[in-house]
Amino acid sequence: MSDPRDDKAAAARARMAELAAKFIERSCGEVVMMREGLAKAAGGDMNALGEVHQLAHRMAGTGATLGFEQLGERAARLEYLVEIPAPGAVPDKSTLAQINAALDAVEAQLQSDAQAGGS
Amino acid sequence: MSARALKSLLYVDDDADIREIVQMSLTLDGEMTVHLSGDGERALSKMRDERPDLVVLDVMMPGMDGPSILARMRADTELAHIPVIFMTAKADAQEVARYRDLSAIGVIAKPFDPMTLSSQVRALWNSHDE
Repeated sequence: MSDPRDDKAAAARARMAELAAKFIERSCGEVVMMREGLAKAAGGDMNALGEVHQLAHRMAGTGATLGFEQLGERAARLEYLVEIPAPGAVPDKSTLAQINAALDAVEAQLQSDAQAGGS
Repeated sequence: MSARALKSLLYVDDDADIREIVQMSLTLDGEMTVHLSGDGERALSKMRDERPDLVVLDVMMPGMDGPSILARMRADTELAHIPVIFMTAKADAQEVARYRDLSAIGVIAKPFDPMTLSSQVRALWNSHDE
């Protein structure tokens, strides 16, 4: 007879794999949302930058917990860069360029993870 | 040291995926009831209803963040006694000291290992003074 604890652990791993696949799918959509947010932020909409920060923060934490360590690191870098402008300030061109480059890196890693088929 | 066994906790996080992973992780051994909440106000209400032994709070959440929820708990005579653990991606020594100053019994770093989360939580629970 199998150990109920082993069965539960196996079920948990299977569910984690499902969550990982959904996470990658959802994150692809969130990259698009972040690009739109950065465009709005460049135009002076600071709420948009806050939304980018929230998405990057969640992608960093959830991604790493689901086993996407590199994606988590890249999203954490993006989160860090988005925190640089003072609250209420429009990011300068240099910072905005760094943020966009960090988002490019997130997108590239996402594509790589999606092709790998999950965690 | 806590003499009581940890039987129930409330986990508060705005991320539904993380909530589900935490619940799976903490119920693997079948010895703990895990309640979940996605925001601070609902969490405070659930604490009053469920009376968990322990509350685990994500730090960064939209609206009421983890430290704000803890402040509300400590100002509420019904909830002030409940021990709190924070979970955060920013778990450097300075931040951990800050959360302990706020009366948290410990801090668990994100990302966490789902297979060892339960033992991390129990270790902090067992080491805290009641």
